[in-house]
Amino acid sequence: MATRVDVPQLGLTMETGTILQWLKAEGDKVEKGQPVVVIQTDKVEYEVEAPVAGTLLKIAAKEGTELPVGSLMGVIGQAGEDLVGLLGAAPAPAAPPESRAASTGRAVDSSTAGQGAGVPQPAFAQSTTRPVDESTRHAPTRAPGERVKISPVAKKLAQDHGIDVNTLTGTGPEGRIVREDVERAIAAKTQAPVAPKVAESREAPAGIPETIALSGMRKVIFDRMGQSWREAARVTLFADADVTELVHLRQTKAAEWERRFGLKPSYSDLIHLAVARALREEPRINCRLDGQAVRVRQEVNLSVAVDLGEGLVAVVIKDADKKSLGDIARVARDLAERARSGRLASDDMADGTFTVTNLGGLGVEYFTPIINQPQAGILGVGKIMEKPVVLGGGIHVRSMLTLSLVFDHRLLDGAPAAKFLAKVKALLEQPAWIW
Amino acid sequence: MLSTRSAPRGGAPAPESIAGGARIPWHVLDLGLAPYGSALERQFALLEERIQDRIPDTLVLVEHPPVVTLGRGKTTANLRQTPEALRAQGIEFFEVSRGGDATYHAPGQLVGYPIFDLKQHGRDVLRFCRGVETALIRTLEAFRLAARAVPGKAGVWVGERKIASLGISLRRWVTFHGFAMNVAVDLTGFQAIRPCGEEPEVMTSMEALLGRRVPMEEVRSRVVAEFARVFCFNEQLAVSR
Repeated sequence: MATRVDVPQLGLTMETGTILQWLKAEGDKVEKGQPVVVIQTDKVEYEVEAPVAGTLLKIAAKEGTELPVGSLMGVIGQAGEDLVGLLGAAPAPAAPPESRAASTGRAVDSSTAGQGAGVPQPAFAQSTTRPVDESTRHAPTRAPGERVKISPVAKKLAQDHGIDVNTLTGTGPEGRIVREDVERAIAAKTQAPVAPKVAESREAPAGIPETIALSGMRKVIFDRMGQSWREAARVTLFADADVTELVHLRQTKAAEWERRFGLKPSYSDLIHLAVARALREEPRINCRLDGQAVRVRQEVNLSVAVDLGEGLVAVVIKDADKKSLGDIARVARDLAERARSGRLASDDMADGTFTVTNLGGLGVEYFTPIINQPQAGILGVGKIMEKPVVLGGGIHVRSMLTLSLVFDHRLLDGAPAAKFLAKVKALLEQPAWIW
Repeated sequence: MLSTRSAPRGGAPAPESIAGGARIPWHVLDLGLAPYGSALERQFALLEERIQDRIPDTLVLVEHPPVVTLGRGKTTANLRQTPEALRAQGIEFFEVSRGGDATYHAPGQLVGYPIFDLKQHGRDVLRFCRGVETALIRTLEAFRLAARAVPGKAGVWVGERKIASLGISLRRWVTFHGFAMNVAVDLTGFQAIRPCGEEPEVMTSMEALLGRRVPMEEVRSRVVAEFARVFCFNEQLAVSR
C-alpha cells in the first residue's frame, strides 16, 4: 500500500515549497515519523516525516525543485509495488514533478529555465485552488485492501445513493474522499449517458477554478461557519437608521478630518466607532461562551471582516471604544492592508469580542451574517440608500441604513440585544458626538 | 533560579478578564552568554520535550561568543573566509538545520530561539514568522526606531539596513532556531560572511542607529513583553537562568 509524500500546507498563505534535501535515498527503509525530506518555504525549513513505515520507493522531485502545496514529492511503500496509480498513468516516472506543475500552469521549478518561473502567484491561490491531477482524478489511487479515507458526510451520502466508495478518488487532504467527490459520482451515475455534456456545463467562468479544495483558508471557514450554524441559537433583529445627518457630517467634515487624521474616514470607520461606543454603553452582548459560563468582556475588541477575494478573515481593532475616529480609521486600514498582503500576526486576529461585517459596498440592503464564535453577536451593515420617509406628517427623502443584528439567544436575551441595537441606531442618527 | 514576574503590557486588562484564561502559558529561559554548541544541544533537548508536550512554549534568549553558522543545504559561497580561517580568528563555525543562509552571532546580539508548538498558534508557520517580526518591530519602535518587515525577505529592516535576521525550522509543528537582533554587536564581524546573501555593510545595530548605549537587559525585557502580546501568552511569566 504505497503512500504519497506531498508538499505539506504549513500556513494559509503558503503556496509552494522548495525541496532542500532528501534525507533518504530511493530504496532506503523508513520508520513512521522519521524525517525523510527537508523542504523550505519563505526561509522556514521543515522536516517532512514519513507518514507510514516502509521503503522510500520513489523520489519524484529532486533537490532544488519548487513545487505547489499538495504536489507529490515521493512515495513510500513495499518494495516491488506498482506505483502507476500514485504517479499517474500517463507521465513517464522520471519526470512527474515537471509535468504535473506544467499541467496545472503553476510551474515554478527554479532549476528548469523558462518553465513559467516568475509568473505572479495570487496571494491565496494555493490555499483554495490546490491543483487536482487530471490523470489521477478518475482512477482510485488506493491499493487493494487499503482503508478508504472518507469524511462522515461523504460516507453517508455514498450509502444513501448506493455509491461504492472504493471506486472513488478523494480530492480532500491526503486523498480523503469529501462530499464533493460523492456528489460528482452521483451526478455521473444518474446522468451517465450525457456525462461529457455535464462535465462541460460544470465549467466555471474564467478566473474561478472548477474545483475548490477544502483546504487552507476554505477549510477553516468551512469548519467554523458550520460549527457556528449548528451550535448558536440565532435571532436576528433589524433596524433602519436614518443616517441623513451622518452623511451630512461626513461631507462637511471630510476636509477637516483629512487634515487632522491624514486620511478620510469611511462610513465603515464611522459605524465601527458608533458600534464600539454602543458596546461600552450596552455591554451585555459583548460576551462569550466560556465553558459553562457566559463571560461579559470589559474590553471592546471589534472584529472586522475583510474580504481577501478568495477568502475572509476577521481582523481585530483592539480597545476600539477607547480609540478616536482617526485611530480607528488608521488601524482598520493598516489591518486590511496587512491582511491582503498576507502579513497578519496572530494577535491581529485574536481576542475579538464582537464582529461588524459590511456588505453595503456591494449593494446589499440587509442580511443575516453568521456569528463569529465564541462571540455572541455580529452586526450586518447594509447599503445607505435614499428612501421616502414619513416625518412630522410629510414625506421626506432621507438616507437610510439597515442594521441587521444576529445574536446567540443561548448567551443573552432579546431585550439587551435590542437595547444595544437601539444605541447603535441612536448614535448613528444623532452624530453630533463625533468630532 | 526561577523567578516569577509580570511582564509589562501597557494598559492591558488583567488575565482573568481575557477569555477566562485563554492566554497561553509559557516560559522564558535566559541562558546569558553561552557557546553556540552547548546552546544548540539545549535547544534540541527542549525541542524534544516540547514535541512530547512535557514543557510549555519556551523562548530561549542567549548571546553567543563569535560564531558563523550556515543553513542546511547551503553552499559555502556566502562565506568569505574558510571555516579554518574563521576558527583561526577565534570564530566558531557550524552548519545547522535551519532555514536561511549564512549568519554571524557575537556578544551584543540578542539571539532568541522560540520553541513554540504551532498547533496552539493556528498551525501557520508563515504567520508565526510574521509574529516574530512583529514582536521585534514593536521592540524597536519602543526605542524609537521605525522598523519594518520586507515582503520576500525574512528579517527586520530599518530603512535599507537589516537589524534582525530570521532562520526558522519546524519539526512536528514545533518551531526551533529563531532570530538574532543586533543590539550592540560589533558589526565588523559580519565581514566574514555575506549575511543571508546580502553585503555585510547592509547589517546595522540599535546602537549604530541610535548613537548611544543600549542596555541589553532593556531590550531583552521588551522583547519578552512583545512576544507575550503577539503570541497571546500569559502575563505571569516564569524566567529561569
